[in-house]
Amino acid sequence: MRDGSDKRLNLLIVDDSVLMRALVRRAASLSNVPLGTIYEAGNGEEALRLLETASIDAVFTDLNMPVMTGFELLEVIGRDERWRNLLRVVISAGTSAAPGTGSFGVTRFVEKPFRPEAIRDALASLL
Amino acid sequence: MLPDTVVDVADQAFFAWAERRDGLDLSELARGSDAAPAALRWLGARVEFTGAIAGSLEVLLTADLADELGVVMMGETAGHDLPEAQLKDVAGEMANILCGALLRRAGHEFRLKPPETCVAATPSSADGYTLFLVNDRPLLVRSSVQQE
Repeated sequence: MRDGSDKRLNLLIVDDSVLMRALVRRAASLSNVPLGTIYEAGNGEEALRLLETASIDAVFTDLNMPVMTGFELLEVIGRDERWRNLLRVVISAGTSAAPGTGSFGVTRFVEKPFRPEAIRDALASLL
Repeated sequence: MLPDTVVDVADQAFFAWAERRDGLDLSELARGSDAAPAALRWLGARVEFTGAIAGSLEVLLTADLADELGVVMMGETAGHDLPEAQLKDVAGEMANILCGALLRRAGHEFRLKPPETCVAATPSSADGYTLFLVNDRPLLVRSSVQQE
């Protein structure tokens, strides 16, 4: 996306709440950012499986999840060269430690509760 | 601080209207509801937090309120009955987002644990909780901080 091509952004939304995933999906769809496929995962482990098999440009992840947290997911992503250019957005109510996510290469932090405009702005910032 | 946080979270996360209501009798609220008795089941969610201070926040809400909030979040049409797992999901997110927003507003460093949810017994009173009406339905909230 950053090279100015008309490629559509493939998103991965990671949250253990089905409802929050639906809300983020809707907010993303309402943005004017050209989107391709929107994938969903219920925890970090599921997200990694999708990252292994699908072409994903950006991940929007919660931090506070069972099985594998968002922190753990971001740590794995950060260690793997294949995902060096993966855009990373954290959407979470679960911590005050937003600055701490900087070491995980996080591009943007969106606090819950959020308005749909926050998702639009986060997507726009990735372009 | 809690009332403002509940109002903001209800508005921003659940697209709902909330107000604090002291002195309301829960049994009167239940009697005044036109919902089916099964819809007056109560759901509970509890989130523990650690950090500068440690403790927990707990919410109780009726299943019909959880259904209404969840339907809006899912972007589906009113009248759709969500499965119990998603009703609990609403309760858990309510506790999770409320707790995070409250601690952030208080300026504390914190980290939340994943919420625990359950089908709760009908509360006999609002004692020990702060009572809110969210879209005219009861929401009970209480928080506790562990003493050093």
